[in-house]
Amino acid sequence: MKPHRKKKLGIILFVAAGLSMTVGLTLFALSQNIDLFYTPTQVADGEVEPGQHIRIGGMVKEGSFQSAGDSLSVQFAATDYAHDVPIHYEGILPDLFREGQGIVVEGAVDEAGIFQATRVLAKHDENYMSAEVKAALEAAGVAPEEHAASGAGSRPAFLPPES
Amino acid sequence: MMNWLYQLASPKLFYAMTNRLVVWLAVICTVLFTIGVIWALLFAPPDYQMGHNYRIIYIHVPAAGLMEGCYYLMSLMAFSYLMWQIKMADIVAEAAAPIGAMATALVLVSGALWGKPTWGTYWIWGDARLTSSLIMLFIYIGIILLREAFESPESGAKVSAVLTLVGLVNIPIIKYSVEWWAVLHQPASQLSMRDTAANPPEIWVPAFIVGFGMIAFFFWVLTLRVRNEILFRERKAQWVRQLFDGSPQHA
Repeated sequence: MKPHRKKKLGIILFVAAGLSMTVGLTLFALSQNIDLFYTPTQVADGEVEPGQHIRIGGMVKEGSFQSAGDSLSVQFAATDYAHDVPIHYEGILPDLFREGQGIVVEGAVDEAGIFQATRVLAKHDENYMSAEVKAALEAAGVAPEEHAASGAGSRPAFLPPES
Repeated sequence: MMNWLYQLASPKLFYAMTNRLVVWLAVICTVLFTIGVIWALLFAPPDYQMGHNYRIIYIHVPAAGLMEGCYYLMSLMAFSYLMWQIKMADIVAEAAAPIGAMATALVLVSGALWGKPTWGTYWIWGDARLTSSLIMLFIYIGIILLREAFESPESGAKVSAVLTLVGLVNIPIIKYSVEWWAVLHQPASQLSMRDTAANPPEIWVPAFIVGFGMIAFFFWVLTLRVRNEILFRERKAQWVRQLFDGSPQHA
């Protein structure tokens, strides 16, 4: 390699390394802030002030869903299977909303400790399956989630994998 | 092999060697897109949760692959241009940028159209995957604009090559954003060979066909754009003049 090329390569590598380190350290420092939502455990640990506008991510707890019946007002609990957060919401829920579904809610915790949601979003998992296969699996008594988990980890789908 | 590469690095030889190639790429692209899209839209089974909504992945995922792949190629070209002043590398980088920008726009739009019925929103600020993809679009547009911002083509080429290499840091951020941080966007699917598992072949095979079609599309459009750019840059060269001898405007 000619000397001036060697020098050029050195400059390119130096700039690339410096830049990667800058970005890496910045992202590392910000990593808590980059997370889109708090988990119910973080809320239970008091990381969130009442009235603070936040997002919480979790699963809709089985058996927790209550609908007012005469209005769009609903109550349910978001859980990460360690802690629950009671959630109140008035509005239209996404199509995928159901018990056991991963969700992200936006809003704030009120004085009574209830999370008043202004928006409810359904989190979709990465598993696709045809309706027929799913029905066949259910008929055979195999839970598709367990079945699907053979390729993935056993952590709840809404949490990032542990590093 | 090296000899063949050297020939591709000469604009004149590249032009001569790709005469047939563009036709072949057009045919391959059309065939793969036709098979892939018909299979994906008509024959792939509806998803058990999302019904037909999920079919957007057959555009979204291949487009995302093109967004990344195009950037890898542009980075390689930018590096080659800075390192060895290979003119062809700069031509390829310039020709590829708008295709990558288009793919990124397609990723964002198709994702938003899927997000509304699935998540309940077109867009969510603060999601690392969504934000880093939007930044990718800005990087592509920045690379295109920066080149034009200089009087001399050489300065524009050099500075846009540097920006291309700088923007490379965003690629791993896009890829791993769904693993490093808590986000709304789902992680990459674990494809399965079994028909009874999640993500069986009946769902992902059409996606791969569209994906290969997307690769053919990319190289087809890229080759056309590169040939165009070669003619423009070499318009004063003898061989280009000869090429157009007898055409009305040069008669």
